[in-house]
Amino acid sequence: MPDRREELLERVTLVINALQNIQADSRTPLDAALAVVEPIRKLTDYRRAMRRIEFQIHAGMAEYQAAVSQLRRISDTLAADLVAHQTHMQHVALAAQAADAVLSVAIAVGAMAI
Amino acid sequence: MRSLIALLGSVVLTVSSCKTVVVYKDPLEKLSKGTTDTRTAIQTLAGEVNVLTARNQVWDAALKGSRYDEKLLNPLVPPQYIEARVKGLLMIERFAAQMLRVVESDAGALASKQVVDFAKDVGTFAGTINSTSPAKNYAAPLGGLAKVVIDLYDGSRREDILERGIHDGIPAARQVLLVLESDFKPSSPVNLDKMKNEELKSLRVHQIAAYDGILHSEQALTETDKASPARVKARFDALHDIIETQRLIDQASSDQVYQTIISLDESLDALVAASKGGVDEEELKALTNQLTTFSDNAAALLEAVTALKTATSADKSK
Repeated sequence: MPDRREELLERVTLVINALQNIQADSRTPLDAALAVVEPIRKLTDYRRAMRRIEFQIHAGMAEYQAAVSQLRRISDTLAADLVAHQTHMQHVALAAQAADAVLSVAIAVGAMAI
Repeated sequence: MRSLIALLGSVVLTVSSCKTVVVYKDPLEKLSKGTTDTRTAIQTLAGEVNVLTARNQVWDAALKGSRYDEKLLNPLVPPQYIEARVKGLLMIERFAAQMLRVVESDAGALASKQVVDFAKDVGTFAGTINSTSPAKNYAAPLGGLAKVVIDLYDGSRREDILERGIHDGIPAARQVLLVLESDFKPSSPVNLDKMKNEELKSLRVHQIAAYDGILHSEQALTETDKASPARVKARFDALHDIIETQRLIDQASSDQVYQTIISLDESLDALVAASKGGVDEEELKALTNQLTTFSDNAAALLEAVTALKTATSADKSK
């Protein structure tokens, strides 16, 4: 069925293009060029209606929606994993900092004793 | 002493793949920028199609002499469709941004710096107790080794996070791009480039019809009347509109969005390739150097401790 719709779209476009070429050709009599506008307009309206149907079909793809949701979940997991990792490394930094603070006091006391 | 070094080295190597996370930075930045550009291009193109459609619908109404109707503004590209496609790209962009945050995290670097500073102070403290003791020179190499270990651990953990992200995120991103490729390929019934071209040609039909209408209405006029400045101006304006629209039709580049979507797929390939990269030789060399320095200084310390123990035992036996 998708091939039939696409085939119909292509045929309608071919006809519209042919009529547009007739209208734009300076050799076409003026009255004929004016008369061809209405059929072009109707066919163009019909083609727009077909395109609007195609958009409805393409927008509602279940696999696409699922993939978008999956990406959101993965991004959230990455953010959580990074926070956990950074927290762990902060603990290492804080432990070293705290030990260093104690050592600074010991060095200062030692210097005073000397 | 040597067996202790070997044991420490093997423990460190087993917790680390020794691959720097920096290799992910370039592919992730390309992916992030590419999705932003593609998202903007789709929104712009869809907007252009809808503006042209509205103009043509207004022309149709004007030709028929129809009353004003809000349906004149009915978009050809539904807003929900644009939103859905843009959202998909936004999620890929967000995924790339989160991965980049992992790559650029400096928490490990800060932690290793704190440990090195602490080790230096330990050396200073040992020097205040005994200025000639080997312990004074032992702390700095210990700090250097600890730094390498923390850096390797940090890199290893971040690489784990990135590899999980790639394993779970790439298939979903590819699914989104697959749908976009299907929509924007040249033969697609919802190809926006094709629709823009069609609407431009429809606009040209209206403009040619308007010019032909002027010519038709002037058929009964004399040449003098036809040559009046107002009529010449009206014909000029009508022809000028046609020429400008034809220029836009000729300039329209087809399938640009499709090409950017293909590039995004290639960015995903580059990301997967980065995750399969080999061992980082520089990191291995840094570990080896630190282990050697640590080993050389530790040997002197252990000899001093052994000598002290021997001397103490000899005192006790007297």
